[in-house]
Amino acid sequence: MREDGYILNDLGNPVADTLQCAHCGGHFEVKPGSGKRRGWCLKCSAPLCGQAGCMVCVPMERMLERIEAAARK
Amino acid sequence: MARRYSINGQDTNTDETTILGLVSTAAIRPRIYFVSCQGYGTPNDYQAQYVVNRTTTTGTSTSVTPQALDPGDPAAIATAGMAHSAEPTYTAGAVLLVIGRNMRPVYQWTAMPGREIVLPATANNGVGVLVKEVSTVWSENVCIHFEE
Repeated sequence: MREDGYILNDLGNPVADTLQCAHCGGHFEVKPGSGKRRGWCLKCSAPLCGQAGCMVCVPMERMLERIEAAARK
Repeated sequence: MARRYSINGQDTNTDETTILGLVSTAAIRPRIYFVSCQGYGTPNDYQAQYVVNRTTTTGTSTSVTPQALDPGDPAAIATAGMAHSAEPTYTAGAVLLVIGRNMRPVYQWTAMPGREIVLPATANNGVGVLVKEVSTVWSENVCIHFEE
């Protein structure tokens, strides 16, 4: 899977990749064997960060629209 | 093509304090594509953990003027602040990036094009770089590049 971001060291070399959660838009590091529970959204066909609020399918664009609509009320 | 800006903030990384915050308006959706952290002072093997978390209020801080990366661009619509004396309100469960720090090296994170951290077009909403854990405090410089 292609990375969505990367972390660099002092020399400018990539030391870790990050993936972007399809629901909250946050980035997380992929660490095999870390025990961190991530997810995969079958509707968005994209990875999830594993936070509880991201386990229900609300795509990032929809989430942003809801925040903006609530502020306009 | 989106206009790109840089903000920089410096503060002591005291636990549960904000080092740098970016605040949106109803007119724009800022997109963060670069975050870097660099310690200032005598190098030591101190550790800290920061989170980039969504905020819903601005708190009280020292104003930071976003600098356009292209001198021909106009002033940014988004605003920023550092060294908060009153913390912004953080949204629970809205951690967008976890930063593990050792004081010695520089931390840099970059988003691929189209994979930026997006802020909503809502006044006073934004993100903050919040200190969650620290072994021994030091003075930290945080730099954020965003486009709008």
